[in-house]
Amino acid sequence: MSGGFSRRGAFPVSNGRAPYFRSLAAIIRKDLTSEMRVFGTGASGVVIGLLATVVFGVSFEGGGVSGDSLFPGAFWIVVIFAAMTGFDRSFRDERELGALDGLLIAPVDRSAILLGKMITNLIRLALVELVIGPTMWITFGTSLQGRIVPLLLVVVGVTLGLVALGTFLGAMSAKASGGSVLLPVLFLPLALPLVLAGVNLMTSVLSGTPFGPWPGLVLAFDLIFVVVPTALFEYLVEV
Amino acid sequence: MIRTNKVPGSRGVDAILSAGAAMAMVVALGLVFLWSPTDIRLGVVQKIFYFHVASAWVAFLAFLVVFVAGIAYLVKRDSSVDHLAAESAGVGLAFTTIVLITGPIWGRSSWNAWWSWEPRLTTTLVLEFIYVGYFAMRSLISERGTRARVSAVFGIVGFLDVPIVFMSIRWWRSRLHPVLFGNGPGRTGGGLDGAMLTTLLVSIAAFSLVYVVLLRRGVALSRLEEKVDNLMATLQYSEEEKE
Repeated sequence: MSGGFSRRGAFPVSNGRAPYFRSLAAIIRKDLTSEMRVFGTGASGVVIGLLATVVFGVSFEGGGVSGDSLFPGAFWIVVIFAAMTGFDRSFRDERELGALDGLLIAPVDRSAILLGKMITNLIRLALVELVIGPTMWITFGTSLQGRIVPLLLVVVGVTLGLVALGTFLGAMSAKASGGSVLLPVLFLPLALPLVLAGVNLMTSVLSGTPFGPWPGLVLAFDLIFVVVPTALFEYLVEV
Repeated sequence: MIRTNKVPGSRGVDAILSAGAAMAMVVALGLVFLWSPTDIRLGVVQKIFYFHVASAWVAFLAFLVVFVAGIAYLVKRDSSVDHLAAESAGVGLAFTTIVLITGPIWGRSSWNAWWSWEPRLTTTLVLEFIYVGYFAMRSLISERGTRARVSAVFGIVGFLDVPIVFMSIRWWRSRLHPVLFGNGPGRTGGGLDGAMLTTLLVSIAAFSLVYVVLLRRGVALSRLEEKVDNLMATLQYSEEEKE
């Protein structure tokens, strides 16, 4: 994870570089600040999530679908669509006024830029989930009592993978012109296994059935899509 | 395999490969319709299986080439490797489409349903979408170097995702697809007759040859396109200088 400038050899000595976690924290702080400066962008995920919850609630009202069977699918679909509104932006905004170039010139390990944005997206998405989860719980009449801890574990595991993949693809689609439309096209097929895992695990928690192989899949996905993008990020941002 | 310059006789290689592919295809068709036995249960429809599996094989091979070429591009930065990856993805997409068309035809007579959300069908569909995304991205990045780099990275990541997609859907839905090789628990097909296996292998060989021919043509074409682009740029530049 360290040794970010090794390819270009711009900074042969690592002494001139800020400590990894300090630069990581600085990037997260910067991203969160710019998220919160503009209410529209920071809150849009939450608002979209709530609106989609309403749509789901109304669509399935009276259709004989119980809250327990509706919750897992609805939750992940809403989370995914709310998530996609931010992935593309986290790198697209950096292109304005050459902000990304500034970041790349800064003496920080480049993987810290990606990881920082992943963590910012994680915080953003956690906020969305904290709002829509309880909303769905109450409005759908799902029986979550006593299952909060395993449910939270599922949400954390799956969200981590979604964010890792989404942030990386966001870095890619930001390279394309007029490409906010591109992100869903790239993201949805690749994220499918994780969505299946999320729905399945949540259904298992709610119905008390065994998890099967799904926790392993989530772990593998999380690991692959944190490690591989970190390794390949350098190639994406080089000018 | 990749020519960086005009190699004397490469036209001859292409001609031989094309003729070979055409001949192999005729032989495969002959084996499929005249020689191999008709399936007891499924009848004539079963014959679509040979080209279905052969197309699936070529599609997978093509996407493997995209993956390997992606790594090679990031290491070597040779634009012809990028052409190779893009053309391979295109051919792979075409053959994935064939798989998605022949699959339901088989499924209709075998399972009595055009479509089933079972692992291999769904994975193939997702595969198609991943590489449609690949081309959508390529078309939206105009700068050649950036396009090559970003698509190389996506080609690597996309391919890594394929086994995960497959496993996830396999766990999601029980198996309906016949497992013909090995001793899978869903072994409803009961294995393959010797003549059928031979026919299948010949079909796979024929389709692989078609893949190689299409790939070489595609790479040659995109190299010409690049040349034209460069010439146009030079022309424009020199005209601007005159003024």
